[in-house]
Amino acid sequence: MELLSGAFELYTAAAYVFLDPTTIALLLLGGVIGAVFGLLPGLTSTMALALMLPFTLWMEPEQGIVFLIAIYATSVWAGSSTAILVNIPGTPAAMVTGIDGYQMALRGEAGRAIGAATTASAIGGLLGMVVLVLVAIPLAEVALKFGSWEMAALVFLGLSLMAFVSGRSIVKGMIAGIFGLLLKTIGMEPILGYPRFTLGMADLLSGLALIPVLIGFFGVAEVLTQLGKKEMRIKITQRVVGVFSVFSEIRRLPGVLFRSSLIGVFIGAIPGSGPAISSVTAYAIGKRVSKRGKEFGTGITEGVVTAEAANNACVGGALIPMLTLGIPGDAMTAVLLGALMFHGLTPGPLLFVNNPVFISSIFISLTFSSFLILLFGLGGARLFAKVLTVPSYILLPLIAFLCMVGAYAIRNSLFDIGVATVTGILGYLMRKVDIPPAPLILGLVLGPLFEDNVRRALVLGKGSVIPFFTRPISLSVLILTILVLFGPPISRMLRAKIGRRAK
Amino acid sequence: MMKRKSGFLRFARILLKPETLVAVSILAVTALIFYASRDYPEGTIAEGGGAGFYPRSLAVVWVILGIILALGSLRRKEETWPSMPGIPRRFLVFLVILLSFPYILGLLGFLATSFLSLLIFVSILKPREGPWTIRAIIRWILTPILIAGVATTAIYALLWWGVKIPLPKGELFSFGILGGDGIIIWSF
Repeated sequence: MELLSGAFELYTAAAYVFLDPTTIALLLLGGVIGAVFGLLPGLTSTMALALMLPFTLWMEPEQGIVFLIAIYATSVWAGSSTAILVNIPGTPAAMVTGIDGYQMALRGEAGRAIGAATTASAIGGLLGMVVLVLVAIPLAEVALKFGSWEMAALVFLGLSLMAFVSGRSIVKGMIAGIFGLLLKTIGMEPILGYPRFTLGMADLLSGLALIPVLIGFFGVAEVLTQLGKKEMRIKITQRVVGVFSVFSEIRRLPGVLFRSSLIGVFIGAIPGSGPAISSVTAYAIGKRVSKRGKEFGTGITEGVVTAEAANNACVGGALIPMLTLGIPGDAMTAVLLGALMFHGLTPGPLLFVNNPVFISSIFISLTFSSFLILLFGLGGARLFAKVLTVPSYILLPLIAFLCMVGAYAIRNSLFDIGVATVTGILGYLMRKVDIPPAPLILGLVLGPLFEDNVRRALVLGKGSVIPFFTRPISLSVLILTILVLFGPPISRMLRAKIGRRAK
Repeated sequence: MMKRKSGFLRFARILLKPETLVAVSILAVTALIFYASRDYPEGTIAEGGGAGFYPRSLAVVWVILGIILALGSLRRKEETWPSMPGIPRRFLVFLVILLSFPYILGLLGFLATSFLSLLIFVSILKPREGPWTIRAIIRWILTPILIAGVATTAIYALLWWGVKIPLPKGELFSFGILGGDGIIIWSF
C-alpha cells in the first residue's frame, strides 16, 4: 500500500507542469517529430533525439524532457506503419511488425494492420509506464545504498551487455565501448583536474561535448551511409482504410497484449537491449506459446499486436535502469541521459530525492505519448503515410543542416561543428567495418561515472581490488558480467565439441 | 617469380582485412595515448592511480581486444571487405561541404553559408526528370533555391529571434556599413 501511495505521489508531482499550454504544445510537436523520424527508413529514434536535444536548451528541464520523451515514444511506434505499408521497417524496432503487417497489407488490410499496431503500441506503452512507476522507487532505494564498487561493476556490466547485444561480435562491441570510455578521458580528469589529451586546444579542456558526438555518430554518419547507398524511391500502393475495424479482434487478445508488454518491459530494462530486441523476443515467444503460433507470419493481427506491444512497452522498461541507476538501457536512453546532464541534473537514484517533479514529468509524458500514438495512428494514418513520399534530396540536406546547426547551437561553438563532422566520419567508417556505435555512446556517457568510481574504489580499498569480490552485490554483478562476456563463446565451443563427438 | 607474387598476394589478402586494420589503428592510438601521457602526474594505486593510470589501463585492454579481433579474422579465408560500389560524387560533395562548413561559417556567416551549402547539396542530390522542357529547367533551378531558402530562414528565425543565440556573422561582413546585419542583404 505504501508503495502504491508513494508511486502515486511521485507520478502526480509534475501535474502542474502539464497545465502549461507550452508543455502540451511541446508534447505535440515532439510527437509529430518523433513520428516523422520513425516513419522514414534511415532516420532513427536515436537520431531524432540527438538532433532535437540541442533545442531543449532553451526549455525548462521538465518541458525539455517531455518533448524528448514524446519523440522517443512516437518514433518507436511510427516505424511500424512503414513496415506494414512497404515492408521496410521505419526503425529497427518495427522489424518483426512487418512480417505479419505486410502480409495483411498485401491482402488489402493495411488499415487494419496499422490500427492493430497503433492500439498495441499505445497499450504496451501504458503498461510499460505502469511497471516503470511501480518498480522505480524500490529500485532507486536499493541503488542509493550502492558504493563505488557496485557502481563501477554495474557500469562494466552495462557496457558488456551493450557490447553483447548491439552487434554480431562481442569483441567489436567491447572495442567500441572502450573507445567511448577513452574518448571521455579527453579533458580535465575528475580527481586531480589535470588536463589530458587536449592537444593544446582550449576547446578540449572541458572534454568532448556529448551532443556534437551524438549528432556525429547518429546524424552525420547516417547521412553519409545513405549517400553511399543507391537511392530508393518509396511508392505506396496501399490504401489505408478501416483502421478502427480491428478493435473487435484486439479486444479478444488481452492475454497477448499483457504477455508481450511484460516481455517488452523486462527486456527493455536490461541495459544494452532495446525495442528491436524486445519485439523480436516477444514475437519468437509468441510464436511458440500462442494457439495460433503456426499462423504467425501469414498476416494475422495477433502477430502485429505481439510485436508492437513489446517494442513500446520497452520504452518504459529502458527508462528503469536509466532513472534508478543512471545506466541507460539502449542508445536512445543514452541520449536521454545526455539530456539530463545537459540540463545540469545528475542521473541516478538521487534524482528521485532531489527532483521528483522531473521524474514525474517523464511518467506523465509517457502516458500522454501513448494517447498521442492513438491519435496519430488512428486519426492521421493516411496523412502520416504521405510523409514517406518526401524525396531524399530534400530530406538528407535538411538532416545534415540540422546536424550542423544543432552541434553549433549548444555552446555557440564552431569547434563543435568540427567535432560532429569528425565523429560522423569516424562513425561512418566504424559502420563500414561493422563496429556498432551504441556501445561507444554508452562508454562516452558512462565514462566519468566509471573512472570516478573505479579510482575511488581503489582509494577506499587502499589499492586493493579485493572489495570488488567480497561485497555481495558487486560480486554478483561481476559474475553476471563474466557470464555475458564469456558465456556465449564457451557455450559455442562446447556445442561444437559435442557436435564433433556425435559425428 | 610469378609464384612468389601470388603467394605474397595471398599473404596480403589474409592480413589485410577490416579487422586487422582496426587492430592496427587501435595499436597506433594506444601508442599515442602512452606517448601523450608520459609526463602526467603519477600516483600509487592506493591513491587511485595518477592522471594517466586510467586511460593507459583502458588502452591495454583495448589492445588485447584488438589482437583477439585480428587473430579471429585470420582464420577466416573469405573476403570480408565491405562492399564499396565506387564512391558516388554526391558523397564526396557532401564530405567537402561538411569539412569546410565551420571555416566558411566563420568567414561568410550563418545565412550565406547555410543557404549556399543547402543549395549545392540539394542540387547535387536532385535527380533530373524527363526531357529538358522549359518548365523542367525552371523547376530544376527553383526547387533547390526554394528548399535552401525556406530551411535557412526557418532555422534563422528559430535561433535568432526565437531563442536568441548569437549566430556567426562572418568575418567578411564584420566591417564598414555591411557590419552586423549586412549579411542579410548579401544573401537574399
